[in-house]
Amino acid sequence: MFLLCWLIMTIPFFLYTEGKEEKDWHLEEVLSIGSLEEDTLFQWVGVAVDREQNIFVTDTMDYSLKKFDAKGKLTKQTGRKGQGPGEFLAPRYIDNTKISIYVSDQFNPKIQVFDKNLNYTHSIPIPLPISDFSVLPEEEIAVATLSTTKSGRIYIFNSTGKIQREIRYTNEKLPLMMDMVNFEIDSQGSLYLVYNYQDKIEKFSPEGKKLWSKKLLGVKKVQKEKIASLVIPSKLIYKDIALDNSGNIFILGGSFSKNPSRDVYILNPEGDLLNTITLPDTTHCIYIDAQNYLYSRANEGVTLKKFKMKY
Amino acid sequence: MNYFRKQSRKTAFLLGFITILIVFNGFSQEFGDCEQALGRCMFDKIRQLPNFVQFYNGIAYCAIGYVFCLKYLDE
Repeated sequence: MFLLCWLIMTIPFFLYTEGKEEKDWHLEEVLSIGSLEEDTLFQWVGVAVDREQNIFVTDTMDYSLKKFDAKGKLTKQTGRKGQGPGEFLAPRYIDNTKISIYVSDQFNPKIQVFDKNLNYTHSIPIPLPISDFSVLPEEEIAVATLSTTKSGRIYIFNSTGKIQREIRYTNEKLPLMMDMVNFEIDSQGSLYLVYNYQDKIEKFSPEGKKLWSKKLLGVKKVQKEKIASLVIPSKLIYKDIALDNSGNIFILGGSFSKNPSRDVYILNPEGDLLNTITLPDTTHCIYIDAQNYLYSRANEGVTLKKFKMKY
Repeated sequence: MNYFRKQSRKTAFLLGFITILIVFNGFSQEFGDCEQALGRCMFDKIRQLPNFVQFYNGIAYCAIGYVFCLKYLDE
C-alpha cells in the first residue's frame, strides 16, 4: 500500500522533469583575444562572427572595426574618429550577413555597411537613436529605439533607410525608458525580446502575435532615480539576449541576478527555464555564433572570450 | 502679424527657459559616472531649444547612451 502511494505521488514528478529536458550546461573557454598587457582591444562593444569563424568587433576607444581570424589573430582594422564614410564617433552594435558587416554609431544617425574585408561600401540613414538592431533577409534592418512620444515599437527599415513597417510589442503607455528592449529575430521570423527595465521576456510570431511572456526573477518594481528632473530607472534587470542554433534563448541578467552581469538564463523556445550558467567575468553583452560558440567580455572590455557550450 | 510673431518668439523663449530650469532642478546631487554623463548630454541638447522636436530627439539619444553606460560599467 505504501509503495503504491509512493508511486502515485512520484510518477507525475518524473514525467514533469523528463518534459523539461534538464541538462547540465557549462562553458569551456576556447579563445581569448586582447589582454591588459597588449593593445589589441581597448573597449570593445559589439561582436559578430561569420561562417568561417572570423570575428568582427567594434572598439569604441579607438573608433574602429576590427577583424580577427578563427585563431584570434588581428587581420584587418578600419575606422577613425569622424562622421564621414568609414568613420565613427562611438561605434556600437554590429551584425552581419554572408557578405556584409553592419555597424551602428551612438552619435551618427546611420548604419554603415562594410564588406568582409572591412572596405566601406555604403551607409543606411536611420533617423532614430539605435538601442539594438538586427539585419533581416533582403537587407531590411530591424531597429529598437527609444522614443519620447511613441513607445514599444521596433521599426523595419529598407536598404535606403525608409521605414517599411513597425512591430508594436506593447500597447501600454509606459514611462520613459521602461519600454527599452534587446531583441533577436530567428530564421523563421519569430521575435524574441527582453526588457531592460521590466522582468519580462516575450516571444512574438512572425505575424506579430504575442506567443508567450515570462518572468524569471520576480522583480516587481525597478529602482528609479531623479536625474536632471527626469525620473528614470537606474538598475537593469536584463542586459542582452541571444539565440543558439537549436532555438534556445540565452538571457544575460543585470543587477537583480544572483551574479550580476554574469548569470545567463537558458530558456527553450517555449520559454521554459532550462538552466542558468555563470560567466567568469562581468559582461555588457552576449553573442552566439552559428556553431553555438558563446562570446562575452572580460577585463572591462579589453578582452573578448569565446566559449564552447557543453551539455 | 508682427505682433503674433513677436509673441510666439517670446513664448518659445519662455518655454525654453522653463525647460532649462526643470531639467537642471536638483542636478547638484551626487551621481555616478553614467548619471553625470547623462546630465552633461542633456545640457548639450538644450542648445537645440527652442526646436523642441530636435531637443526631445536629443534626449532620446542621451537616454540610450545612459543605458549603454549602465550596461558597460555594471553600475
